[in-house]
Amino acid sequence: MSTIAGEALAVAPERVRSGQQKISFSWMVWPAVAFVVLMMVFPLVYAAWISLQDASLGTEPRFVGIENYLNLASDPEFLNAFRVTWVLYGAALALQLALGTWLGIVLNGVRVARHLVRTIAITPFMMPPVVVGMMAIVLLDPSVGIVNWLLGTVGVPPLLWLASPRWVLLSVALVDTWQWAPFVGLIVLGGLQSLPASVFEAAEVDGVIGWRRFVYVTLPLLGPTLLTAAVLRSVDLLRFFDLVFIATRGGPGNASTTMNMYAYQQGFEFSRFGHASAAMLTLSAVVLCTVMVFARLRRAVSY
Amino acid sequence: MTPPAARRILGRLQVAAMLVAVLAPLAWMVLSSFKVSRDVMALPPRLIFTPTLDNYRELFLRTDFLHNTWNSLVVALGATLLGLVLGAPAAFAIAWHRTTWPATLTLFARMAPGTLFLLPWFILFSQVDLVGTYTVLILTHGAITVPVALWTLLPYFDALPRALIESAQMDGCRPHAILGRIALPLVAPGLVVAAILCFVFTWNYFLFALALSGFDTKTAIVASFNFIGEGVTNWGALMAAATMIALPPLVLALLVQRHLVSGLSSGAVKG
Amino acid sequence: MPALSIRNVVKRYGAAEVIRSLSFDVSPGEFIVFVGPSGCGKSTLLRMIAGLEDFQAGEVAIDGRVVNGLAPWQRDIAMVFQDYALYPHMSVAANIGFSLKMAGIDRKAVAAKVDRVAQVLQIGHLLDRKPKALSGGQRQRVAIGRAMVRDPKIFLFDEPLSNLDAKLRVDMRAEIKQLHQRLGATMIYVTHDQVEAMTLADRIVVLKEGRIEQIGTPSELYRAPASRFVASFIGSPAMNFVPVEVADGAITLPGGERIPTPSAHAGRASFGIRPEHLSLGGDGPALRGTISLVEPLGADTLVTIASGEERVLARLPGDVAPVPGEVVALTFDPGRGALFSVEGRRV
Repeated sequence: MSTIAGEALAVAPERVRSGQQKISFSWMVWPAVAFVVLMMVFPLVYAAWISLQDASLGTEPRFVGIENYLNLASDPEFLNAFRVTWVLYGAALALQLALGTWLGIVLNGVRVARHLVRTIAITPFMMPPVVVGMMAIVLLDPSVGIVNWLLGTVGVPPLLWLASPRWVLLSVALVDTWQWAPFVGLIVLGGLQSLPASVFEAAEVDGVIGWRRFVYVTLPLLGPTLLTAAVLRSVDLLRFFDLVFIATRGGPGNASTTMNMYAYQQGFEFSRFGHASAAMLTLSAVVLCTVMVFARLRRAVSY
Repeated sequence: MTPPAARRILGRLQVAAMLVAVLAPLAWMVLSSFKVSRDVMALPPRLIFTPTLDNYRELFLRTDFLHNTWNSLVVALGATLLGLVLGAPAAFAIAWHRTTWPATLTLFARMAPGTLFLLPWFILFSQVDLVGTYTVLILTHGAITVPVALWTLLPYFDALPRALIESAQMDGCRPHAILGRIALPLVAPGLVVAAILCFVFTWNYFLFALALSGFDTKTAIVASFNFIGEGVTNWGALMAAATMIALPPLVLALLVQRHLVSGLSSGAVKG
Repeated sequence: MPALSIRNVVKRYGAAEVIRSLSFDVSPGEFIVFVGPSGCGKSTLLRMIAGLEDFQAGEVAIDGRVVNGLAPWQRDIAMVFQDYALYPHMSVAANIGFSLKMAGIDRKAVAAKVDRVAQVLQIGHLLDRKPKALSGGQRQRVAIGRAMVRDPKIFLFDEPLSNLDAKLRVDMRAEIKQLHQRLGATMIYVTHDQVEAMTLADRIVVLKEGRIEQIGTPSELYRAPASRFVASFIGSPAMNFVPVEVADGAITLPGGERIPTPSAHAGRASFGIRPEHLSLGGDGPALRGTISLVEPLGADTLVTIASGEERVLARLPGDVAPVPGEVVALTFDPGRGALFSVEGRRV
C-alpha cells in the first residue's frame, strides 16, 4: 500500500526537498508516531517475542525458538484454516470485483436520482458487522428464514446456508459481498468518471461497442482502479474475522475457521499464547506479501 | 445494437435491482423490530401487521442497552478525538515535509489483524489495572482512529497551496499557529469526513471492546453480540437492537456520503 | 549601509549546486529585479532572502544585520507570492491585518492601518469580501496590501504578475512602479519576463545556472551586455549573432567585408547587432541576404533576411515596404555592434 502513499504525495514539486525548508513541523508527527509505536509496534514486537516461547496459561514460559512456527506447518487445523482463508478470499474477492464492476458501469449510465442511489449504495458497508451478522442469521435460517421461503416459492429445496459444512464459505462470501460490492462499485464509478469521455466516443466511432468495448477499452482503463479496490478488499478479506466470529463461530465444525479465527481461538479459548501469536504473525506476513504483490501489479498496469 | 431508450430502461432496471438487493434485508430488519415474536417467524411473511414497540421496550427497560449505548458513545467520541488530535498534526507535517515513512508505518501496523494486538494489550493493561476502563477502550480504538484520521486528512493537507503556509510564516505565524489558524480551518471538510469515519469505525468495531470492556463499560455492539451468544430466540428484540446500533453510523455516513468513498480508499482500512 | 547584502551564498540540493557563491549589495530604496530563464535560481535566491529556505554557506544581511538564523517573521520583510497566497477563509481586511494581529497589535490600530493601506490601493470597498469573490487584479492588490501594511524594510515579489492576463499585467506593472516611487521602499522582484525587468528595475540581476551573469541598470544591460547570454536575453526581438573571424584589429563579416574593431581578440567569434540598429540602404558596413519574411507591425516592420544558413532580423520603419525575394544590404554603425568569444564572453 505504499503505492497509495506515493499517490497521495505524487504532486511533489521538484524544488521542495526535505531538509531544505527553513521551517520545521516535524515535531507534529511525533505524538502520532509515539502512539503508533507504543500501541501497535511495541505490541507487535511483544507478540513476536511470545511467538518464540511455549507460553500457555498456568505454565512457566519457555523459550523454544521457531518451534511454534514449525508446529503450525504440521497442524492440520492450521492448514485447514489456511485453506479456508484462501477459498473464502478467492470467492469473495471475485464476487465483489465482478459485481462491483457491473455496479459501477450501471451506476455510471444512470442519471436519475444519483444522490439517492449513491446514498443507498453506501449503506451496507457503513453497517456494523455485528448487525450484518444478525441479519444473516435471521434471514438465512434454514427452517424459518425468509430466504429459503422465497427460494421455495420458485421450487428450490431449502438450503442449510451457514449450517452447511459444504456451503458455509460461499454463504459467508455472499453476505460479505452484499456488504462490500457496493463499495467496489462506488470506487469503479469514481474511476469511470475520471476517464476521458473522448476515449469512449472514439471507440464508438471505431465501431467498438458492447462487449468488445468492455473487454478492449473499459476494462484495461479500469485496471488501476480495480487493483486499488482489490488491495483494499484483500487486507480485510485475508484477515476475515467479523462475520464468521458472529454468525458461525468458525463452524460448522471448522468449515469456516479462517486463519484469524483460528488464531483467536488458540489464543483466547485455549490460551495457547505462543502458538496463537505465531499464527497471527504468519497471517500478518501473508497480508503484507499479498499487498506487495498487488502494489507491484499496480505499478505494472498504470499507464 | 439496442436503441438508446431501451438501453436507458435496461440500465434503470439494473440499478433498481441493486437497490432492492441492498434495501430488502434492511427493510426486513426494521420491520421485524416492530413485530411481535410470532409475526417475525411467520411464513409466508406478514407484510401487514400491527406494529408494536414491545421489542424496544424490552431492549431499553429489561436490559442495560441504554447504558451500553452511552458507553459506545463515550468510547467512539473519545477515540475520534484522540485520532484527530494525534492524526491531524501528523498528517499536516507529513504533507508539508513529504516524509512518508510515518504514514507508511501506521499503514503497515494497521495491516496486522486486530487479534494480534489484543493479547499483548491484555497482558500489559492488566498489569496497570486498566482493563475494563474507558481509558483502555479509547486508547485501543485509537489504533484504528489515528491511522484513519491521518490517512483521510493527508490528501486534504497535501492540496493546500504551499505558498499559503509560507505566507503565514512571513506574517509571523509560529508552526502551531499555522496549523491552528491556517491549515486546520482550510481542511475543515476533511476534518468532518475524518471525524465521521473515526466515529463509525470505532462504533462498529467489536473485538477490542469484547475483550477489554468491563461490566460497566460494555458497549452496545458487545451487548448485542452477547445476545446472539446467549442464543436469544426473541428475534424481534434482536432486530430492534440491530436497528438501534445501525442507526448512528448510517445517519453520520449519509451526511458526508460524497466524500466517504475517497476517504475510505485513501488507505483507510477498517478494523 | 546597504539595505540588503548577499555574501558568497551557496545552496545545494544534494550534489546539485543551485546557487553558486553569489554576492551583491542592494542600496536603500532600490528596485532590483532578478531575471533569468526557469531553473536559474532566481526564485530560490528570493526565498533564501525571505528565510523560507536554508542555504549551506555565506551570509544574508538586512540593514547591516545578519539574518541567516532568523525566521521569516524576524527579518522585517514582506513577500508577495506568485499565486497571491491569500487566506481563503479570511476576509480581505483580515488578510491584510493578519500579520499585525500575529504581532499582537491591538485591534483598533490594526483596523486603522488596514484602512489606510486599502485607501492607497483603492480596495476600501472590498474589505469585507472573501478572496474568492475578487478578480485577479483585486487579489493582486490585496496581496500587495498585505505586504504594505507591515512597513517592511524590503518588499519581495515572486513573479507576482505571471497569473494575470496580458492587459492587466501591463496595468499592474505600472501600479507597482508607482507604488515604489511613492513608498520609496527597497523592492526585490523576480520575473522571467525581460520586459517586466526592463520597465521596473533600477538595477537588474541576470542569473544563469545559479551564477550572476551581469548586474546593471536596464540601459547598461541593453547597451553593454557582458555576455552573449545577457545580450540575447535582454531586448526584443532578440539580438542577431553572425559568425565572424577576428584578426589584427579587424572583423571579417560573412560576406568578406572587414570592419575595424578595438578588440584584441583573434580567431572565431560572434558579432552581435540588435534588429533596431540595422537599416536599409544607408552607409557603412552591411549584412547581405535575400528577404525571406516580412512582418509589418504598423509602426515597425520586421524583416528577416537569409544568407545561407544564417538568418538576420531587422526592425525597420513601418513605411518601407520590402518584398520577399529581394536581395538587400542591411547597414549598421559598427559602434553599435558587440563581439563575443566562442564561450559567450564579451571581447
